[in-house]
Amino acid sequence: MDYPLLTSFSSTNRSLFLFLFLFVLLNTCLLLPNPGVAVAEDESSAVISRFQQYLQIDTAQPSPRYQEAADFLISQAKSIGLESQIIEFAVGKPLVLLKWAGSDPTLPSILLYSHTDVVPVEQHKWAYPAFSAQLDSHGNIYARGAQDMKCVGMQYLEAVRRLKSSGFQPVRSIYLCFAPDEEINGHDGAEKFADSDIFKTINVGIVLDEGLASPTEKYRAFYAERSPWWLAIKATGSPGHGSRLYDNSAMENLLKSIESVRRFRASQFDLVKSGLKEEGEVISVNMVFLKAGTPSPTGFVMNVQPSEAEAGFDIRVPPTADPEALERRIAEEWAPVSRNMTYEFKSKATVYDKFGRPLITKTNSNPWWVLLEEAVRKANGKLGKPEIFPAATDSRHFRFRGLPAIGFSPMANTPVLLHDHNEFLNKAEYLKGVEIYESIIKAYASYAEHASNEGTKDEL
Amino acid sequence: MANSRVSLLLLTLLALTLSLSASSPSSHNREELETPITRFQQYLRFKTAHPNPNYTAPVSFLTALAKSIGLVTQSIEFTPNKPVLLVTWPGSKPSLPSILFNSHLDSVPAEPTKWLHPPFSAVHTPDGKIFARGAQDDKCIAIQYLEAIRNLKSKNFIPTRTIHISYVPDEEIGGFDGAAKFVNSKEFRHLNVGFALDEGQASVNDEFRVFFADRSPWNLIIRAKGKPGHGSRMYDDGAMENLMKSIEIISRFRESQFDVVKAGKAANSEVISVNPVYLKAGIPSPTGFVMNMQPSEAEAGFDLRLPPTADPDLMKKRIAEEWVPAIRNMTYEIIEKGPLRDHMGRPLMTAVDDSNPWWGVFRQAIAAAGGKLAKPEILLSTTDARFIRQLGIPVFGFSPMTNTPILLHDHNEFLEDTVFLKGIEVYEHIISSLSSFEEVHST
Ligand SMILES: [Zn+2]
Ligand SMILES: [Zn+2]
Repeated sequence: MDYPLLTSFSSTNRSLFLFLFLFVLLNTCLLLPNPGVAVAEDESSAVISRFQQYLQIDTAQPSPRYQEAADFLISQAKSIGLESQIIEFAVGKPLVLLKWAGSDPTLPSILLYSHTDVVPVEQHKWAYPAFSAQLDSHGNIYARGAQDMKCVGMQYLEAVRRLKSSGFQPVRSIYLCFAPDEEINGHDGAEKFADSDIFKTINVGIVLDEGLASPTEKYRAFYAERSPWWLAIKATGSPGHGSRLYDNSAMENLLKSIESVRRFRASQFDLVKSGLKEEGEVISVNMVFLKAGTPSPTGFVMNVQPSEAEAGFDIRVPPTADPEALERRIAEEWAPVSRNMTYEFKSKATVYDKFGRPLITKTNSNPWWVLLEEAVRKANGKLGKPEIFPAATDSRHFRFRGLPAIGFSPMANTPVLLHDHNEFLNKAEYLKGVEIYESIIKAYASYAEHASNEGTKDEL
Repeated sequence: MANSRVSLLLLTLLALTLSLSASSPSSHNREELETPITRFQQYLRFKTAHPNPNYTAPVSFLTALAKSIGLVTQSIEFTPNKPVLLVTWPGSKPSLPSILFNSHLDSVPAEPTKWLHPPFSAVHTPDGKIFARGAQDDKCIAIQYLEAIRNLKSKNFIPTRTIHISYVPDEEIGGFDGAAKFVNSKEFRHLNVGFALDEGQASVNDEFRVFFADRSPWNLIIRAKGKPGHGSRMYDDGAMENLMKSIEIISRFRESQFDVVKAGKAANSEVISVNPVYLKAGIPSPTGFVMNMQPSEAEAGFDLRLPPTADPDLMKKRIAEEWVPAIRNMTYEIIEKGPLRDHMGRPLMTAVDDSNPWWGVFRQAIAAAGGKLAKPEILLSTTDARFIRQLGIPVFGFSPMTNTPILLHDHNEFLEDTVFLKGIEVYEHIISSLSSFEEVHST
């Protein structure tokens, strides 16, 4: 997903490591003679080594090795016995689509979605090479993509592998999609895929996509995300000598607006700080650029007050907010004509789907949400209350078409490190996640109630 | 501009031909063509605008002009290709401290498209206006000094104190290769200057303005650092947040100073001004800036002006403690563009009371010329006068332009011919009074 997060390290995590270490030690000492456990250990080390192989493929933007990733995924599909195809919506950007056919092809299918690209790394700030997938003594696997989101892609495959070998037969068809370019807006990936004829023919009923790690024991699930509005405001005013005090300069006008924006930002941030709202539930607005001044060979002319000044903001609008009110605020308070200001959206994502409804996947009265909760519980996992994803993911392309999409990455007791240095996932959490998906896929693929008519689909 | 020059030349030739064919003595006509106004125009036509001022041609012109009046000239280069021209009229008592009249050779650039007439054509309109970059700042005084001396000489006036005129380069870019080097040279010491006049500013009413101090410019650059982060995340102590807190505090200070001016309690030049001149932050992208990353660095630049009455140490303390506290991950840089105190550690200002005998002489000279003098002021910006004041020498800023809009550095800078000519008369009074003043003066 398009989102770097905090580096906070959870202490719960440390005690968990200790516990796991002792647990493994006990197992090794007491139970090693047991041949069954040895087999389980062999199997899990094979699972981990496949995860590491995927992580070792450098798919960082701006030059992801998509072909290598596709070859690896196809070989995995073959070893599991899934149908596979590669689709290129843009040259050199393969999308891998795998299928496990269900017994009732008339029922809408399950789409297990993940992206193959990752964000770049600043290698000197990492403890290990970012594409080495180094396993340390605590069982942590370090790699760019360990959380975002190669874990999820491989967990889908491992869960399907285990269900297949256990003899499970899905009623609904299951599709696994590995798409390119999510980190650079998904235009040549999810967006074109969701628009394609192939997508229509696979008749998707529910999409699972990435979520976020959880520093607590509860997994997190996301029913919506905030829409990015990228705003640039510009002030103009008469230029003047640096020594002159006068009103209505471009700088003064811009700074007044920035103060107004900052007061709004503080009001939203206070809601989060006081615990009244989650991060994803408020309108965030952060300044990303400032530009003003007359360039000179050594920097800027220091004795001229410029006639233009600009600032840029990354605004994120939750689907629960009133976008018209926000736009009015921008026009009247942040870039008022009365202060000689103009504004422009560098990009403005809609907060509505194509039917004009808020871009939200329902939680109550949505059987897929209920099934997810039950399946997580059955696999001995805990689920937190539904959240709005603070940034953007590919889910928006599916929700836009009226499809339910749930953001979910089973990583509990894990610091949120996506897009950060030293991104890692613990081996035990990863294996636990495979079990969680096994439970979810089983529940979803067995859900036989026919929900394909329009009315019911709308309800989803 | 080339075209207008050619046509002027043609007109001149035509006039000559006509006068010749009219068979009147050509020398008489040529005399008529050469007037203080035409000499002013000639001087205005040299392209002395930054960033590539032509210094050679105007210095040759002024040298020839000074010599034609019978003055001594000397050209000194403290920096290659940046000449200082020194013109001297020896006094009868050379042991007395001399009087210096300073002006700068250079001018600020002009945007010709925003001018009614090409800025270096010195067009003289039927209503008497002479349009040119430098007409007010400050080529007028350069010629007026010489014309006043020409007139005094023709009246057989003999100065008691020696009179010097200096023409210096680079004032508009700080004067560091011009006046700053000149005043610190042994050549300058040999002049034994007791009092100096430098440029002032136009007056929109009928009172002449006189300036006893400049404000000292500081460049202030403030820089903030903070954790970088995704554009969607709100967190405290980002670089932008830290920078904006400082900018808001500085804006408040600016407002408080401006309010004093707006309330009429002080002149613009008597307060500390601080104006933002640039803002810089963001991660550049091919289309502008990356819109979803909060940068880890942000900076802003300010033009700060301190009147001589302000305490620079107090200002520095305020900057360090309130404006740019290190505790908010901020750093700053102050670039002091010139001196704040004279060589004795006194504020850089010239007294305008009885403690300064030159003040009385100057005031009387203006009165003798039939002029009125406004209350002495601090100049809004800076001139080369600060370098001379730093040596403890009293200096007034004075450009005799009454009833004239203030157009220095502006489009369509002009001066009216009558104002220019009146200025020559005023300088005649000033030069004769100052140079005749014999009271022993200690600096
Ligand atoms: Zn992702
Ligand atoms: Zn000047």
